[in-house]
Amino acid sequence: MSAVEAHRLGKHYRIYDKPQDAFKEWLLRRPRHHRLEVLRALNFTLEAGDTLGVIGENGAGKSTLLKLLAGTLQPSSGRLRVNGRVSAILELGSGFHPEFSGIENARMGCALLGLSPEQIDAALPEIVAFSELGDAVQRPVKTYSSGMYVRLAFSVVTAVDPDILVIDEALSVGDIYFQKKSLDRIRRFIDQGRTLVFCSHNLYQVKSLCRRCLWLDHGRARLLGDAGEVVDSYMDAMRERARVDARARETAPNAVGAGFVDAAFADARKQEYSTGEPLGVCLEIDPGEARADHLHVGVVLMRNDNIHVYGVSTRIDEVRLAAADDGRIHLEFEIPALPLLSGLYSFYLYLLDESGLHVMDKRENTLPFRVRHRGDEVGVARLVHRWRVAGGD
Amino acid sequence: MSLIATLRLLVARDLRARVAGSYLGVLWYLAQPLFLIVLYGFVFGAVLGVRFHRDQPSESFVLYLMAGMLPYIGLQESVTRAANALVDNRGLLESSPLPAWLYPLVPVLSSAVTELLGLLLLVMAAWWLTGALSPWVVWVPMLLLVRVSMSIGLGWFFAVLTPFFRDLSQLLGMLLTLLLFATPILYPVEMVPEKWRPVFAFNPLYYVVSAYREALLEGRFPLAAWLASAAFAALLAGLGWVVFQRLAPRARDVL
Repeated sequence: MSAVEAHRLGKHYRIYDKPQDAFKEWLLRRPRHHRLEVLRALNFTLEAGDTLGVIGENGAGKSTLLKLLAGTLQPSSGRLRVNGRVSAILELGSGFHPEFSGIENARMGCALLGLSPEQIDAALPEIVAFSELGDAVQRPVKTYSSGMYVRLAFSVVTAVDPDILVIDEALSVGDIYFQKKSLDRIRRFIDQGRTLVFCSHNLYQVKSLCRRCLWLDHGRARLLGDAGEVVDSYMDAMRERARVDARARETAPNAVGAGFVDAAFADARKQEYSTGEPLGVCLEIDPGEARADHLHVGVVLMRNDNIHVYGVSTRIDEVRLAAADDGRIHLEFEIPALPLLSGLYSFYLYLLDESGLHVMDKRENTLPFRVRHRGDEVGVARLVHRWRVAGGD
Repeated sequence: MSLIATLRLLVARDLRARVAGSYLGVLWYLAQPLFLIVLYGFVFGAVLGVRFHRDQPSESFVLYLMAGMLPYIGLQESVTRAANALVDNRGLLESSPLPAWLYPLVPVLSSAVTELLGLLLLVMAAWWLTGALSPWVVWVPMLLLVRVSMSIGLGWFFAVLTPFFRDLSQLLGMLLTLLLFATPILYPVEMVPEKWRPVFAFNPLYYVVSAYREALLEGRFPLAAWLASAAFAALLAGLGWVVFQRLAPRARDVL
């Protein structure tokens, strides 16, 4: 039996201009709302022990999906089957009462999650210990810092020993030490074969905690699959959207008529590379009336969130350009082993004069390509490195 | 854990939360109704000279007043607070799988606890002042059951309507004050002109108050009054339940 089964799962909210309209609609049987589709026709199955990350932009329907899983919202269409006890960290501590002490609220929280009084008594010492609140558990919750609040809420939710743990964005609060501690606890849950549904803007956490990932886009499943692959595609899309499209920008004509004629990948069709592969770019330049050895070419590699990965020029590397028999400059720029990690990248090419200051022609944001890497490294590029353990062999 | 155990916890928390941090604590639950009873007792009994029977001594008047005020205050307090139960518990509604109909029950049930304290005081006062204890004191749980069921019905009704019409909580205060004066609580039925009396037949609280007085003060089994109030309570509770179930999903949409 699967832990979670969603079949054409959909949820819409009815939006009313005034709350009274909702009542009038019920009374008069005439629609007075507009529908807000939050989730549309989601299909997925989670087996016991599966770990699913849910990612997407704000308003993509992540919280709604988690609330459906937690049972606090009912689907408007489709089917959702959840087998097992669900414990959800949605709004942390929403059942807490500010006037009562931490321990009383923990007791209440356990009760709201369905524990019997005996089970609560058994769970309380563990909750207090894990939250590390010490004597503060006897103080009213209204005196807590937000970090203490989260620690208590997290300790309660995970102490009830759920079969399915649903976590929404909760770990972004609290200090780093406690974040790590809660991550460790979540990992233990996973190791024990429990099912995890985890929603976070911290894509690294999603990648490292979850085996599978669901990318929600305007309520639809844009991609569902291996967590690494989905997170990479999502990040590409996010950077792509943020990119300033400079492609259309015209270059000012220069006096000598020098300019790029062509720029292409050495392997013309290839647009996707793996880390470590060679990558080459072939340039054809018309020097115009300028002398070829008085020209320089600058190459800048950018990721699509406008991060300058690397920039270099023939001037810096002291490469002398020369015209071929056809009067054009044929130049190849090669990276023998691409150190870049997953992402979308493109080239910015500049044709410079002798001083390297005056731009005679440019091709900005051209030759886009995609990089995929295996493994869990993060960042822009793989740096050459070495580990050394003192006293080891 | 069963819903009943959760409900008990919620009620216990509600009772403690309302007086948390106050100096008198639980005593407030007795002090507030007693204050009203003394106030109305003075105005109606001492100043206006109202009596429920001919030649009624003033301490007996106070007992009658108390027997009428306690169920009224219970009803008034629980319906007022239940009306806001969905609005106030929006956070819990969204994050806990507990059913929505549970939340209006909490203030109603905690009012039953405070009313029981008041009734205990009433019975002891009656015993002490008149020297006799009505055998039908044993009927108190059944009286309370009817009063509570009535409040639950009204509580569900107003709780599910308030999200649509926020004005209701203002209006409700006025309606409940009207109910106080439209029920023979501060005066006997006999003072009301004959032609208006049939109106009381449609006032559920009238039967409740009559049943309380007959059982606790007059030593009679309140057969007719209790049956009538129970019928009203069943009707109101059923109506409240149906309306709540019909409208609750829509109320969530506008919360």
